[in-house]
Amino acid sequence: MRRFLLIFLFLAPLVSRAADTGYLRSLRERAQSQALADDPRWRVLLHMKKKWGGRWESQVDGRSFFLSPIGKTDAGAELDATLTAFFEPPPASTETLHPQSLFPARYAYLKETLGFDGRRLPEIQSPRLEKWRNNLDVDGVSLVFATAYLNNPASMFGHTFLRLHQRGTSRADPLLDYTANFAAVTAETSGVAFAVKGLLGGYPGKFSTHPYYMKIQQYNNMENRDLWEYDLALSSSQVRRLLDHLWEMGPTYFRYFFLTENCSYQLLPLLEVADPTRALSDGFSWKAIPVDTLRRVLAEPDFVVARRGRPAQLKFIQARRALLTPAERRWVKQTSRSGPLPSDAGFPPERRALLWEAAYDYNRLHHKFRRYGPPAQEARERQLLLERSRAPGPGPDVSAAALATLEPPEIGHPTGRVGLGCGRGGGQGFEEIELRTSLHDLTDPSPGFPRGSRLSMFTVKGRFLNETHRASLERGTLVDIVSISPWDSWSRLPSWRFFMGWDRARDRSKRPAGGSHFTLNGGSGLSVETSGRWPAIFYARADADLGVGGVFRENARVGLGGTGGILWASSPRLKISAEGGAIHYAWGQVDTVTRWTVVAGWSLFDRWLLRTEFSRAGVYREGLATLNFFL
Amino acid sequence: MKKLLAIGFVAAMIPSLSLAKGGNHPMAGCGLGYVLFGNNDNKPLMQIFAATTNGTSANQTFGMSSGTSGCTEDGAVKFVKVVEIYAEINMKDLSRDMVNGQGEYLSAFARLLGVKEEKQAEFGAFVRANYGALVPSEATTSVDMLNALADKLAGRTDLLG
Repeated sequence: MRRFLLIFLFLAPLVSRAADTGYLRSLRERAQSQALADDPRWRVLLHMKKKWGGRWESQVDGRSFFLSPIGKTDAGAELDATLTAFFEPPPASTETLHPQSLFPARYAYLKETLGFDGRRLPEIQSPRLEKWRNNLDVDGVSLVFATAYLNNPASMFGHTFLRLHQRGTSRADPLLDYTANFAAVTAETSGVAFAVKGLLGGYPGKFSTHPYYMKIQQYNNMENRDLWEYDLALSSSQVRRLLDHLWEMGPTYFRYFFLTENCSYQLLPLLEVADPTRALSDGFSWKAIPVDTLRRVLAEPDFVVARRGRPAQLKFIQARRALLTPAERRWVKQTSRSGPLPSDAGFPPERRALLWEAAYDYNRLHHKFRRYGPPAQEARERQLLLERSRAPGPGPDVSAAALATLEPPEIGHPTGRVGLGCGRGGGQGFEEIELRTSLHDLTDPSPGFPRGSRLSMFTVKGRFLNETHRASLERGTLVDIVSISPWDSWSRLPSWRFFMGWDRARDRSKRPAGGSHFTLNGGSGLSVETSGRWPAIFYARADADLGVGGVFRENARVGLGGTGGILWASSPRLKISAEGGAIHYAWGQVDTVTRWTVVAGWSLFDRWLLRTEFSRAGVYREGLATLNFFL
Repeated sequence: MKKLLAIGFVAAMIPSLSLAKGGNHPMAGCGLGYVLFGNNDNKPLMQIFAATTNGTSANQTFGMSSGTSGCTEDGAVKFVKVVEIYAEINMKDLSRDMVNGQGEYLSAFARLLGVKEEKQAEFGAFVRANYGALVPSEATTSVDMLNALADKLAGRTDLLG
């Protein structure tokens, strides 16, 4: 007793008044003898990953996440410090979080593996943590995939987040559930700045929780993206662990890396904490594309138990429009004109509910789904709603028709592509190798990807020239986006293109290895889709082009011009893209250059694509055939 | 409890509304004032819930932007503000469902108000029939609509559980 008192007096200022240092020491020893510091379950709680050279380091960058000053690199030191902190006396205010409630998942893990004695290490309840748990009241988790949104570089590859199912609500009734989302924290609105800083880890990434209706408003409604939900087989104790760990993640941050440690990657360790038998986060050390992380989760046996698609609002609008006769469509358009509303008297009563709903659709779409419009628009929307409330019956349910247009993202081809081929250009033969890290091209097989889209980032194309026996970089793509959306007078989506990278100005140099320069070009236009026996998309756009490099007089050229093209899929296996255009360079190297390209992509069998390409720029012509493999 | 909430949200909202009109007071309707009166430039509403690193107290587990100060506790919407925020963010889609007398935005709204499960259809018919009174003009805000609805519901307590 006296000895205990002595130790007590001696350590009081160091640890705490009530801390049982003997018990702390024995727990530390037990943790050491059980080698808990090397337990994968402990490591994943700390987000430890093995670096080159075998050293372990946590991906978490927030200081407060580590209780030991060397915790980021030393799981054992962090374990010791965590145990020590658990012995701290209860905080004076219930608003202050004790280490046990700051790190509830660590606490639960250590309590389970070391068998804490509640008399010697009192458990401290936190009303805040309890309240949070009760507020969310989660009994299941789904992984949610938001399809690509090409108009924002942060969303081009799609996005994933978790839906936290509230107990007692239907899976088909999502609005009031919560979501857990990881995102870069920034007020940056410039896409280019975001992309550059995002690549280099210049933003902190944080977890946040939002009501699902906010995500639905943002993705489904404003950005017109489909959502896919994948229900995960997690027991209630696993769900509890996931939430406890999410709570630990809330105050801290990770450096956000657009390609690797991004929104969709960071969900994987969270799922590993929930179910430690699944190693989901390995193999994404150089790229983590949302659909790849989804496929990783889907590949896990008995993990995904159900799938649900939730179409974008635009799909519902289009499905309702499809029910209208031409005369009814004309009437709907009249409702957006100023002046008095047209009357619905000319239509049978059972059509009126649909007509007023379509009119509301059309007006909302016309004003880009704005929450606050000018008074005249708000007044018109209110009038339409009032008329709708007077029309008899419920409107038609178009959810089945909207759902029928969806394709689940995982059916798409793998996101990487490697191609080998040979060709002839400028009178010389060559071999070519192309490595594309992502994602899709106009002539790649289209299921699972936005139609009429190309999204390529970090693609290199090298050539070996047979006569000069020289290898050279043919093209280095940083970003290459093509978005071709058939024009329709309701949704009014433009068709556009953007390219940034190194290319060859074939019109400037007859030498096969010449003409290398940096270029930035893009343009916007319209496209129309024809139906019937030969469904094709025709497009036209205005282009601007900037080239910088020694191949030009004054080292640059700037020009304006136009491009027209056709996209045609003769069958799901054969897709052809042809385009041609001219650009007049008025500044720097003054010139007018015409170009055309015809590409055919044959999907031979699963994951193999044969591509033939003929192109001309100025007087230079070339033909090329490559065999491509998706991986 | 939920019935109390439905009736009680009128009382809860009146002070927040008057504060909001006095400017963007930090406590103005838990940031709803920001949504209603400060956000005239049509920025996506989601921004009010965007997490930020600065301006969050170390005490909060999940950071939220200053626009929502007071709206959330550790990243979850405060219970008494749930109806307000839901109605404000979903106003356009909720309105569509209200005049249709059915739909997921309306049924989630009804659940928040504590409408009995078996009275959902009746509640739908009720808001549909009263739409003109609930949203009397284009200047009607979501808070105005909620106040009007609370008044109307006071005569229809049979709908609430």
